[in-house]
Amino acid sequence: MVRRLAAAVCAAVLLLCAGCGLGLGSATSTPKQAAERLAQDVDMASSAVGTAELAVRQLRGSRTFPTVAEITLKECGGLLSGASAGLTRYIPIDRRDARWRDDALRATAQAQAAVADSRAWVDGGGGSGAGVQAGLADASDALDAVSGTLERAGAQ
Amino acid sequence: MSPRVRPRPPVPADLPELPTSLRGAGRVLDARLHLLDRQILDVDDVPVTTLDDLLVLTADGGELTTGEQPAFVDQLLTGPVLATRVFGGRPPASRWVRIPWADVTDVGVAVTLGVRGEGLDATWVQRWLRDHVIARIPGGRHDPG
Amino acid sequence: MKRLLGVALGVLTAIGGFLDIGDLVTNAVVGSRFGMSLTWAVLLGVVGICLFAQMAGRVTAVSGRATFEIIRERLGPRASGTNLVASFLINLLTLTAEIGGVALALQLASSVEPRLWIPVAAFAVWVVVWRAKFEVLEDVTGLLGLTLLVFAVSVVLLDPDWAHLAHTAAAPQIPATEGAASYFYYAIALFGAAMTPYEVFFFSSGAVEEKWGPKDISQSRINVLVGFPLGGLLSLSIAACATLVFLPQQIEVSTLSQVVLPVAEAGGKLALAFVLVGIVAATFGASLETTLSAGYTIAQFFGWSWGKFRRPSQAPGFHVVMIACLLVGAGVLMTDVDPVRVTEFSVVFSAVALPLTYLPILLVANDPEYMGDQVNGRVLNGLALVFLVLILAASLAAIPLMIATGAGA
Repeated sequence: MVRRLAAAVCAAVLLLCAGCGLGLGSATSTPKQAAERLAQDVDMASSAVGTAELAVRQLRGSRTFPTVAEITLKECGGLLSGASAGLTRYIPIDRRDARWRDDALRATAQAQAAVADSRAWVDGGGGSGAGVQAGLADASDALDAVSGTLERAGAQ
Repeated sequence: MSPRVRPRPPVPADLPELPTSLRGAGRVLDARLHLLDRQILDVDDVPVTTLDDLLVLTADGGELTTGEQPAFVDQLLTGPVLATRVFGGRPPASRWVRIPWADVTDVGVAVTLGVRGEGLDATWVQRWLRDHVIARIPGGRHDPG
Repeated sequence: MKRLLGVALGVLTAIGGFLDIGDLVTNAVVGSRFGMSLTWAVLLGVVGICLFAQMAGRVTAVSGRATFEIIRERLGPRASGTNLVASFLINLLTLTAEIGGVALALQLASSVEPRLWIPVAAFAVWVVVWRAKFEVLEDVTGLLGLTLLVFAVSVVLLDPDWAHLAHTAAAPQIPATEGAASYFYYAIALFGAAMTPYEVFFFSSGAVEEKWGPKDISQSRINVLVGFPLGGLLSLSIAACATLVFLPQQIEVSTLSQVVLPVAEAGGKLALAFVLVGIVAATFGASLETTLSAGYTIAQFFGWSWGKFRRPSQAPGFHVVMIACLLVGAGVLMTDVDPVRVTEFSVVFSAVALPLTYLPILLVANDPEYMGDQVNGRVLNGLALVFLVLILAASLAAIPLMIATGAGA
């Protein structure tokens, strides 16, 4: 009975360790790993901006309801905040790394502003559909540029 | 399949076989298989509780000590004994809720009683909840819909 | 007419069971990140749930007893007690997520904050459980949930390259941007989402409430074979919509608003209106199912009187458990936790707990004392054993993979 219990406990601990072992690849000791870590947050930001672009385009084409577009943009704003917070928490390992992080933060901030403008436009607070869509496109391009840099660094 | 939680002395090898044919009316039941943990229903087929144990007495009403004395089932036992059934140990006699075997009318997939569940000790939790919680919420006595 | 209502029960369970908030989001996430390469997991889940739900329905129809009563009787207090604790806690987690899903869906329709909808949703669920007739319950949510067929319509409207879609589904490959650990983690998530135990408890308890007899077995077979594949089809449609709209742009889905975006893209405001109605109905239906399942499992384990067809005063324990669960669920949600995150956890933990439910069903379906001469045939047993191995594998791999991938990040 005791032996069975001990065996069960060992198996449980082993399973847990297996999972932790598989997941320990999040240490950022090399530039490649750093690039991957930053890329996660940049991807989240890109997803948010992409979604925002789709929502604005749909609203301009009358394919969606203003309430749905507004909630979508609100949730995109939340995702961007999350990405920004993740980037802020990141500790760079060298100067190049810090530059990447700063670029990413700048692009994310630009995206947050663009999404905020879009929300204001949906709520009827001014701006034009074409204007906010262009703003989102610019933010998207900025994020793509950072993404590209990180991808090239990760591929080295 | 149902782990026995109380340790008991090993079964003697020379136990007489269970009777396979009987003169007169009757059925052979395996208490662990057919009775333990079964649902107890009342005369209207309303669930009462689960069967947690049986009180088996010898012919003169004493406790059963060997497997060879003639014995009979006196009571169905239930009650707040889940902890002892899962982890082991024996609850005191006062903790058991008892239903006389004489009230049992049928043993099938569930054990059916010939009395109504309303008056039994076994359903007191349900009565308490009904009188003190459900009764305070409007609409509890109406049929659904 | 009775036949149609019988099919309605199956359709309700399928849609409510398959398309709850977790399925809606998990299938969309999978579609946006992995394309159609995890179709096999959904199909496996559909076959598995068909197999075991049909077995559970047959056991109920022949023996007149519901699943959890039988689990207690066959496994004894220790094993069935563990089963109860695991099933009940996961059920509670799912219930919390579903009510959150109702609130999120109502927010999409109205712009009113979810926190204001949560008490409304929980109260509405309770009122239906307290007073509404079971048949009304299944008809309304079943019919309204069928509007989610708009996902399938949207796939067609998005004019996909069918050959390419079919190819990625039939010859799956892990996408370059994702790792093998994430791939299998989501496979388990999809599998667990399809085979959640509460579907079976709800299905078999409902069968007792509708007083099925042996002749209803064929009806049960129709329910299962019509209802569950329908749910699977809708799951795949949601994934396909996300694949077509999000995958090319590398957008990862993580919110409910993203799930409906492809429908607006495909069919405009009309389609969007249908899908919003459908999501409210599906999540509300799932809330009802999980609430009732919570009551069923506890009441059946302790031998209490239970049932929607009984007055609350005649099944007090049953109703008190449900009220308590709704209060806990609503309370947790009011702390602003993300219901989508809650569901992702509930789905994976469901996968961990799967063996506890399905092994007893298999055992009882083979027991002549309960089934008479209607025990499983050899082919059915063979298939069921294969699935049991799959379920055990998924159950063991779920937690390590969750740790390894950071819950799918």
